[in-house]
Amino acid sequence: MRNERTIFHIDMDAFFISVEERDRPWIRGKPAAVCGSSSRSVITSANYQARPFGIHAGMSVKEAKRRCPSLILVEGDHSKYTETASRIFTILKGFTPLVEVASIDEAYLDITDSLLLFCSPLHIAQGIKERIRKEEGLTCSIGIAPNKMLAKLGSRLKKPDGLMVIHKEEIGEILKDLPVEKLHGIGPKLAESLKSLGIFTCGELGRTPLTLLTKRFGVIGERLKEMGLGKDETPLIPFDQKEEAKSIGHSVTLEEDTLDPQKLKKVLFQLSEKVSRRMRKEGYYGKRVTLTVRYCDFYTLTKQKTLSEETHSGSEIFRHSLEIFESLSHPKPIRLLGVTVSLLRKEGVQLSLFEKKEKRESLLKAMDRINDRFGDWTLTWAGLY
Amino acid sequence: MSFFEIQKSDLLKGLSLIQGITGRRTTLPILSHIFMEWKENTLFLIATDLETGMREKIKAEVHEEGKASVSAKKLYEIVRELPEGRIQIRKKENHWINLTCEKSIFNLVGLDPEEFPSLPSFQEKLFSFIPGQTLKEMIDKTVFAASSEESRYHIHGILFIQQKIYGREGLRLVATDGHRLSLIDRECSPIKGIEKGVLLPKKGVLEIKKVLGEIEEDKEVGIYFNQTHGFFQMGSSIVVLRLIEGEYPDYEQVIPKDNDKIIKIEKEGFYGCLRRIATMASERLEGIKLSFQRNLLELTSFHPDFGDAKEELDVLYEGPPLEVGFNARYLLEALQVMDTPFIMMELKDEGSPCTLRPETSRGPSDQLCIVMPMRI
Repeated sequence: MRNERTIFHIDMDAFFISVEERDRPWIRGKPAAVCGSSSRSVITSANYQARPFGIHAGMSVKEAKRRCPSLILVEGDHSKYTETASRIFTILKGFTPLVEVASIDEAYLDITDSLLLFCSPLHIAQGIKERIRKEEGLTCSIGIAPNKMLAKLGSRLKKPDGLMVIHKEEIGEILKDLPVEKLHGIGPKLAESLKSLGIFTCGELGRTPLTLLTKRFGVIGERLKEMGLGKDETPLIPFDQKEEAKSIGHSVTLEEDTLDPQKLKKVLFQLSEKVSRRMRKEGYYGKRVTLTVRYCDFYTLTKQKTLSEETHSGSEIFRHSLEIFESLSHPKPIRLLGVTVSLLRKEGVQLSLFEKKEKRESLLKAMDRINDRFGDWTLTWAGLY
Repeated sequence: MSFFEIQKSDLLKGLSLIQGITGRRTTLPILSHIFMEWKENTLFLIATDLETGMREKIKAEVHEEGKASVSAKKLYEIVRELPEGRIQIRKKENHWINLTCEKSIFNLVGLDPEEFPSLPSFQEKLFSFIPGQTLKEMIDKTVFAASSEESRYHIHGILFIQQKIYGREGLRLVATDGHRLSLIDRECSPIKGIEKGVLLPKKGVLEIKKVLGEIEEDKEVGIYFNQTHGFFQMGSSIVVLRLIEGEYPDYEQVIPKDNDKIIKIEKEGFYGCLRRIATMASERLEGIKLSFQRNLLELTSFHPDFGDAKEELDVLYEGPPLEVGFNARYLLEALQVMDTPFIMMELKDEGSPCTLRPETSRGPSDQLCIVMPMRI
């Protein structure tokens, strides 16, 4: 029998500053933070002694110093953090190969199938905490739940050095009075919009009729409803050092919101060219084109199209993204456009009998060489102007 | 009362041949039906998906003429299970039919037979005839290369075109999916309506192939084309195909004329070697590499997850070294339709089309496969 899906979210406690505290014992127990090197820099990580002063990541150094004059500032050493993180990820991979690195200091683990090897989720979690403490001298918080969203919530709710298990049958109880903004993915802006509808807690969100949510928020309405109910089917994407790029894309926020087809077409062309240029540089061909459109109210939608043949040609990518663009009805001025190509493959392309791609490919190669030498957009298609 | 009697084995044979045509399009319920008409001691079975239609003629003992339309699948399922012997089918009210065989009785819901789309009409006197085995061979050796997806080049069609072969009348079939192409010429009496070539849908051509497998070896096939349809009469079956409208790519232009690197390879050895090397090619690409040196061919493949493979094969080759990538499946499928112990492979370079043909003594060959390389 297959075990129920069990996901861990592992979040290092105040990662950068904890690494510094480990290496500089004299700052332990005092308010301290890591910051950038320039004079206008910001705090990147504050320890738990600094947090009561209201100091958090993203705050300017000046403001932090004003709030806590005794704050010890350490200039960040990014390579040290990356090395530490990579050792921690290696520890995690000892428990399951299914490790998704979410950022430098957090990861998701799918231990569903590892449960047959190790006794219980708690046992594994304690093992992980123990090894990270022993080998790196650092603490972390772990959330254990049936999906990624709840696991992340679990690690957030018990911090620092916490361990929280959310069982399937407790989901309703935990979410009932939980403010919506505690959920990963609901930022302050979205939380405000929800509150304007009278939705303050996850419980209320889960009870809100889907039609109301989709009417107000469009396609993400469905996702919001599921979040309120504690449902999340997002797959875990295991991270592998060797793994190749999954997609190549570019997006641009327009100078001003517009619905002018000429302007938008031009932007699409530029994006397609940029994407194709990068694909050729890295030796990729792709089979799926995805268009992202964000409207002036931040409502965002994506639509994709799978091609019959792989391509890395800008005009092909443009042709397909324009086709997608024209298949959508655009109710509001557009703020951002994005073009992404996925289903990538390195080289290995079946040549065609009838379409003489060879000539076109050597033309693209020549253009790339010129642009490499004299700068982007030195030589481009007349359609852009 | 309108009814007829028929031998179970005769009816089952007709139904099984016609099954493939029905039920493909479910938007029109009647297309999943089979149309039956019994008159003059003959039962006619008709099925159509509006692109491919088929009519079967079966001997029956007709007591009073009649027509019916019932679910093709259900009728087939029933008849298949009946004991050997005589079946009686009679027309009932509301388009129902009653089917009895020994002690079994079935009543089947039907639709109004007048609603069934009629097959395009044809005149038997217009048929030209070619040996069934010739047509079957020509289809077998080309249809695999046709595309299964519809595309702007109409390459899901198979081209039937009149062709002079050493000054004599003949028929040419061409199929391609844009990456490889298969072509075959055979001498035969001229067929009306294909002077400029017609395009037949792959699905329908596969139905013809199926029927050809059922008729006697020495039977002739009647063929006739009008502006919109192609008609194939094979034994007691007639298959009607709607022609594909549109341009076929200029296939003659891609037949290489200056491939100067010519290799003679023993077919079975090459085939086995390709199959082994293909096991290590990545599933999606199926790409393998062929390296030619003087009288030697080295085949290699590489799989990002599983490893690599290499094999050497003795060949007859006098030219300079050459390395070309191919989709192994394209080469394998081409070899499968070559009947000679040796094949000739002709190349120019790693980016130009390669030809494969059976090694025959009578100069230019009547059969040709073209495979476009892969960039690996």
